[in-house]
Amino acid sequence: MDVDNSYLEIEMNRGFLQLFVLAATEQKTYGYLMLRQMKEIGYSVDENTLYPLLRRLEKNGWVRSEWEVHSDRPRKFYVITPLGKEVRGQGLAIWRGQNAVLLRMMEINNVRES
Amino acid sequence: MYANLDTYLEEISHYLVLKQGTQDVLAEIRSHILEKTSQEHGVVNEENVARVLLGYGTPQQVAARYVEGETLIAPTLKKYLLRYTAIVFVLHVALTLVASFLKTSLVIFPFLYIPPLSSANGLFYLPTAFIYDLGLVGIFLHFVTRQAKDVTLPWFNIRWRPPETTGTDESEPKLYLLILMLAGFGAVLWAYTRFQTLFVMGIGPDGPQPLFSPAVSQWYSLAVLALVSVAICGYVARFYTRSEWIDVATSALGLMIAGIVSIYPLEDEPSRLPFLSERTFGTVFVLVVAFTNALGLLSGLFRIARRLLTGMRDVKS
Repeated sequence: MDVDNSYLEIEMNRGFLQLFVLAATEQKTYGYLMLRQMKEIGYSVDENTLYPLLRRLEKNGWVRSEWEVHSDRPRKFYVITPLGKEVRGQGLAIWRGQNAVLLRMMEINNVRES
Repeated sequence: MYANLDTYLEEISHYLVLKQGTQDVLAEIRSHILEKTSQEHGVVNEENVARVLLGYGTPQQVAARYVEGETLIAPTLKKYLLRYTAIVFVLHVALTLVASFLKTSLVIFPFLYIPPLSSANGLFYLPTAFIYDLGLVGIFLHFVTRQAKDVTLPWFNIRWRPPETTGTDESEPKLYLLILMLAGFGAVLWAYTRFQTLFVMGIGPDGPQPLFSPAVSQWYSLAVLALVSVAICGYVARFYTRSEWIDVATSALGLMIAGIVSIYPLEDEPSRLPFLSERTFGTVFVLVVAFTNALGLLSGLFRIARRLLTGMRDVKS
């Protein structure tokens, strides 16, 4: 039986996507380029998810943005801030810790991936 | 530059309710769409922009993603909405009674204006007062939310509990009750078409003895028929939906009927009963109908508000 995993994916994406974007903004980049890079490495994000997320991260002070004009076209570039790097570090530690305890629990209960 | 893109962004701006940065968001969406058009279609023209817009989502959907998390009332304050409304409403009712008793208006500018009301009009005023109080408390909590500070509001312990949703809402409508109601309505309708009144003392040798003058009898009989029709329609609707809005709608209609009935000018004409003048009968009739329907309307609105708030909490959790 096919299981609709869209809800699960949305739930799991919440934290992951923030970390992912904080990793993607290590170098100065803009929305469209970020989406293309993500697609190239096999992760697809809707533009209407990415831009509002970038806005929230900026509001938190985790990324900063500035408008630049390239080839007569204005683009809004984002780059991670020192605070964002700190948050990213903490987020990665949580993610690794969660991953480790999940694997440990699966091992204890002899859970096999179906 | 691109009319379709301008129109699209204009529509998004209608739905975009942000404290600040609306123009920045629109500029970024414009930039993205033009970039995408250029990268995926080579040439940026209206036709290609239209293709990209097709896949970008409706303006409402796009705006909704930006306003996610922008709450009018903080989740932690939502429980206060009904509690504070109940307290304000009780005060409002008390002041309405005072205004009605003193036959004067009460003004607490700009928050409150209670016009001089008769008892019957006071009952019609209450549902409006409730909605106003809900809005007033809502605005207050919205401002508290916007402060974004840890404000501790007093939590008044009220032992009174709002009506439970169990009961009429959860009870199944019964077919035999509907048949009985329809049979009763048929009988009443037959009596009215035959005697032009439903208010009779008894049947004498010359036919029924109406309680009131023909015009008054007819007016109040029609009101009873209208009220019963509304009740039956509401009951039939319950076979299709359990929505609380049915109770609200039927109560509102009942209240409207009471309002229409109350405009009939009544004299102190005696009826066949020595203690019951037409005016007394009319006043009691309107008061009873208005009171029961006002109560039904308020209770329905209260249940809906509570369900919506509970639903919001469930979705959040």
